[in-house]
Amino acid sequence: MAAAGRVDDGPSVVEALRDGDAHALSELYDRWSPLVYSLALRSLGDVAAAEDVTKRVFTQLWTSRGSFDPARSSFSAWLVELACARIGELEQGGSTAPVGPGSVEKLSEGESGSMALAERLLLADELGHLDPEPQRVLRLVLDDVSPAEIAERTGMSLEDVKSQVASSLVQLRQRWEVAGDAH
Amino acid sequence: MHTDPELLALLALGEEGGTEADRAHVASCRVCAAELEELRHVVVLAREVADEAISDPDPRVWDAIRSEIRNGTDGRDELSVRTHLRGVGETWARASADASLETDEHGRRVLQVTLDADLPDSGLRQAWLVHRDDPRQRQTLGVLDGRHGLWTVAHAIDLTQFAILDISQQSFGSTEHSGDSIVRGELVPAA
Repeated sequence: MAAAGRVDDGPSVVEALRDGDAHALSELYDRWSPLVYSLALRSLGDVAAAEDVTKRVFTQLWTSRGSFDPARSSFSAWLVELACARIGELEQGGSTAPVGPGSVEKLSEGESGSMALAERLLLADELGHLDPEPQRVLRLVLDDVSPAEIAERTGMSLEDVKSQVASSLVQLRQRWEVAGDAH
Repeated sequence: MHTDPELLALLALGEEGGTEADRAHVASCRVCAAELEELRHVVVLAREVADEAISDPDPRVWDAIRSEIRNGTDGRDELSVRTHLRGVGETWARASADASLETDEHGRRVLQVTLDADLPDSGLRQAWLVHRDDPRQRQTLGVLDGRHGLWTVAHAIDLTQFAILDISQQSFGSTEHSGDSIVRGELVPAA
């Protein structure tokens, strides 16, 4: 996938996952596996290891689905936590014991490193999930193209460009914050 | 009245916008200033990560997950438990029940109960899952039909915590546990 556009990863899908709906897992995989995989690949530098982490994280998502508490953290924060724990294990080359549901894990140095990377990749991921047109315009502005120039290129009014960019940024910040809980 | 988030977003991008009053407010309001700072942080980071590659895993990863889940090799999904429940107190000393919990082909956790007790003609019998460490926490499963009960147990219920199965004598119309437990026992043994 990774095509722009919103895959449903809202509370209803997470709720369905908790009820044991395997289709919900497949939707969440479509939405979030690129992030988990990319995070593992960047951390471990090895395709096979990154695939292994992705597999373990989503299998664990399924087996531990009853222990996810939406009141405690967002779904994506939970996912990133699981991913960082698995990556940490492989970095230490040690234990592959499963993490107990709801257990509080102490972050190793490697894990806190992957948390910082996770924060960056989450933002890149959310940026890539903005709707295509607003995303294109926001990327231009981030690339230091002025709104006036964008207005000229696209035929939009300057006011429209500004308000679209502003609303994209607000949206990005909200999703990132919800996803990350990390700063 | 705080500044409109979209105006703060524009300011964070280094664009001009808003009135003099808006800018004065942002400068003097702690909440808006913090929000602006946060948005600036997002802009800085977004500039850095704009070209960061997020790539899809090979399809074989999903295939592996799917087959692992289908085979239930994680062990926890293939619950199969049989339990004998004992009568509670003197009143129900001769009561007992048998319970079985199985995972069916759709992954649903199916709980069946058969109650053996000298039951009154009045009221109903209701089944509960009670928290192992805190008996005040309980979820109701539903009402028995005569001596038999058959329910699916939502996966949201963690059976390692809500591990005690309790069947109570209830009067019609009450939603709370009556306190009159007929049988009780551990459904899922402690790990």
